Amino acid sequence: MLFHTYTFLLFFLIFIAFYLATRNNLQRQNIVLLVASYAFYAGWDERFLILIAGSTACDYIAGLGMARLGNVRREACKAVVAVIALSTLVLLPTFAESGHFLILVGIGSALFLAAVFYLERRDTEDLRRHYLTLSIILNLGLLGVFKYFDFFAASLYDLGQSAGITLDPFTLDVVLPVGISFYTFQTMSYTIDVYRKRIPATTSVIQFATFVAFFPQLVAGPIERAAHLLPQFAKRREITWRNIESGATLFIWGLFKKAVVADHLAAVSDKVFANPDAYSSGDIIVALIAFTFQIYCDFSGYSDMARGIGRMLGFDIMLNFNLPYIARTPSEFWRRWHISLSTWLRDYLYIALGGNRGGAYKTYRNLALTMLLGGLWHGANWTFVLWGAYQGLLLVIYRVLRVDDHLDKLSGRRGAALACNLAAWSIMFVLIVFGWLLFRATSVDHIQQLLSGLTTNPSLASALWLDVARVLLPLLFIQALQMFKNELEVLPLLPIWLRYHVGVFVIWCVVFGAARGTREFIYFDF
Amino acid sequence: MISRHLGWKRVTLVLLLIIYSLIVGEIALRLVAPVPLIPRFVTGAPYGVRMNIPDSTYWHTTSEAKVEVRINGQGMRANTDVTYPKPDNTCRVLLFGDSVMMGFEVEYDDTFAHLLGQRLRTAGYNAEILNLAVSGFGTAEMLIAFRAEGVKYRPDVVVFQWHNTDPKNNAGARLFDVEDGKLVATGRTYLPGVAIRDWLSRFGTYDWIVQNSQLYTAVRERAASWYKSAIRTYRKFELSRDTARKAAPKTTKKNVATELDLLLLKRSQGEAEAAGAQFLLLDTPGRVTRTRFKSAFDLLPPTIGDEMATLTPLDRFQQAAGNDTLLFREKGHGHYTELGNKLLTDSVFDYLTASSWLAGCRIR
Repeated sequence: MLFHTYTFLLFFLIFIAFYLATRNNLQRQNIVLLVASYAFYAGWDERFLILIAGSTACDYIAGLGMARLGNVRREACKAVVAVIALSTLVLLPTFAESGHFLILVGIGSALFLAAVFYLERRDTEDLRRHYLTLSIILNLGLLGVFKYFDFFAASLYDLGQSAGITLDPFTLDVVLPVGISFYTFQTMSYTIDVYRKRIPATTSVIQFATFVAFFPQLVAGPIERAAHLLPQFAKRREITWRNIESGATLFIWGLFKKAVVADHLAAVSDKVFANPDAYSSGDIIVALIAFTFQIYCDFSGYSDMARGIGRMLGFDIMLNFNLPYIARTPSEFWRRWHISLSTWLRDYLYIALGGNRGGAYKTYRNLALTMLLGGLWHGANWTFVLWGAYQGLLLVIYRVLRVDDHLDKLSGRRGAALACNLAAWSIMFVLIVFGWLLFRATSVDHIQQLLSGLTTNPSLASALWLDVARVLLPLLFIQALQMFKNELEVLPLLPIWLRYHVGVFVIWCVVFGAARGTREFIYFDF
Repeated sequence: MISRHLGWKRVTLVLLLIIYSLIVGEIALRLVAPVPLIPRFVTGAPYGVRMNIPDSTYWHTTSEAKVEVRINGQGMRANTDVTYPKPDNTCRVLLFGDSVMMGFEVEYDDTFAHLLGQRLRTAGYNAEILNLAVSGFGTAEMLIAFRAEGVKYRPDVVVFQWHNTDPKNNAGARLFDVEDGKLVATGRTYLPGVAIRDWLSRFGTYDWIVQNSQLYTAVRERAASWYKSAIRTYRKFELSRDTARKAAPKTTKKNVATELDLLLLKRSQGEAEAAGAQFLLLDTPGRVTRTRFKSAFDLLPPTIGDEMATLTPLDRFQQAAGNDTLLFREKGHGHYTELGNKLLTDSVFDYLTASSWLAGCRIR
């Protein structure tokens, strides 16, 4: 169910009625949120609920276990019963075809219970680490099976073939559950923070389950931190007209970026990327620029819609994009792009690997490895790994050259600073666009095809510039306002005449200027 | 007195703001997502279906083409009028179809109808091509238009276009139905949106607005889409309630020709032949990509060619296709380009000249 569809509008209207009706009872309101979030997720495939419920149950129990709260064995049994009951409910309509999954759920539940019962017999210090390990194994296991198994199996088979060894190709052919990369990372952030004693474990399974499944940010982020979002389920939400107005504004802005800008740009980039040999070098450059802004508007548009909905409900969801294309260096880019993922990787992977403690070589290694795995997070394809490696290489090169430090030193010298910043920005933008070529390509051969197309009779001439410029210019104008006012939610800061024109322009575009046909969000595939 | 004055001031300000907002909206759409302006100037014919407004001239404007559409006194896209009596030694080829057959988005000189007439005359045939196509027509409406008007022209050849929109149009028109395997008339009129259009046309500026305002066009198309969606939902609900019809559903989710469509085609063929004309069912392929096309005949049973004369230009389309070759408009409503019309003409010309259908009017 996409945010910009009538189905979602109907869902939201029904949900908001119940949400407002329960505003004086926090527990009931959280239950309404949880049921709505599960219904929202079930809109893709009700079987996905088994996985999210399983991940929720495991991490909730792991939190209790690490914090030694309550009777962990009893809570684990209750959690398992709930997961089995939910699994039975969702598999009942298609029992003939899907009933065998119940056996898998049963086996998984039995193993989980066995692990919990075993752990509860061990001493305290090891226990916390073991519960964390259990959480990581289950969450990464889910990712491994549903997202990466077929990819690695196929890659192994190809490797064998190239080495003259014939292996039996074995794949699971499983559907990738929407949002699995997001909610598994979100729940792991909870268990890791509880382990590090940064946050207390929660004893409310409803609050925790709602935190994991919270529908505005469930399927495409932002990847929230438990420290930020979980406490918001433990206190009464203020639904004010101010929040509704600013939330609705944020939602409409996100909708403009997604349905007007991103989807129109997709019409240009898709046709060129599908058949690059049929297009000129100039056309491929235009398609790259189009994709650069398509992926930004698609993803940040979704994040803004998620934040807007959350704000209307009284929640504060973290910022995920902060004008990333004004970045002058890779580290600045990653402070502005997909902030929730980059900070997650920094806090839970880069620092765990040692961060920048341990000398230059280890710092570079940790940077490269973090970005490599960050690339792999995006999808089961070598092009994503290549993109991650490329991003890691950029970070290392810029760090070796100390570009950030040099640019910071120029802050007192206006003329030199302007020139150097412009130069740094230009170079960075080209590097970012090239990175998106690696990201968008469907295979290594496709990358070669695109590079060949770019370098054959290189030229900027293309009939496609107009199609791209017509949607980019309004976006860039508004983003320029955001940049100069140093505020993303810039509308209230504008003079009334400009606020009126921007507002009316965006609304007309959203209502009548959206691209025909509803395209899914790019990051749903991750 | 002062408060009344202030009241009028506020009302004026609000009205001005509304008008200004509409102007901003028009600019927004033209900048960000230009809307093709392809109005349809139709009215109700005396025989219960739509017809082109006689003696009208209007413009189609897209980012690919600006085209004048001129309708003669008989409601055909033509520069001259036509009389019922057929001149001696003249063959008449009647064309029935929708906007594709009308030649939307190309100038008159590049339309299939005009090119076919030109080629036949150049090849020595004294042929008149009468284009009775109306935008939005389906087979049901074509049949009624042929019965009421087409026969009066004493055609030698009747060409019915078959398009992938015909099954939906035929079902939606509710002019005919199938009972006990027979075609029965169930409706006397099908004039969707005609009454509203006729009423709005009374305001002088309306015709100018439909040809020039992208905002109005976007609003109108959205409203029409909602209305059609609501009608479809209501009819599905009706169908589910009607237990007699449950046994033999007339439409399926998939767009395929139903019994209704086949009976309409056979009836059309029968009435054309009864009027002394040859009947030809002409495929108008649709676009999948720039280089791949889909025949509308895929919706029909493969045996259709055994039951009536059929013709498809699909092979010519595939041969002519290329990444830099446009057979369909890409920024408008997807009608054929000049080249698409030419390929259609070549197909029909070759077919007609190879047959003996026009033997009676060959002058050299």
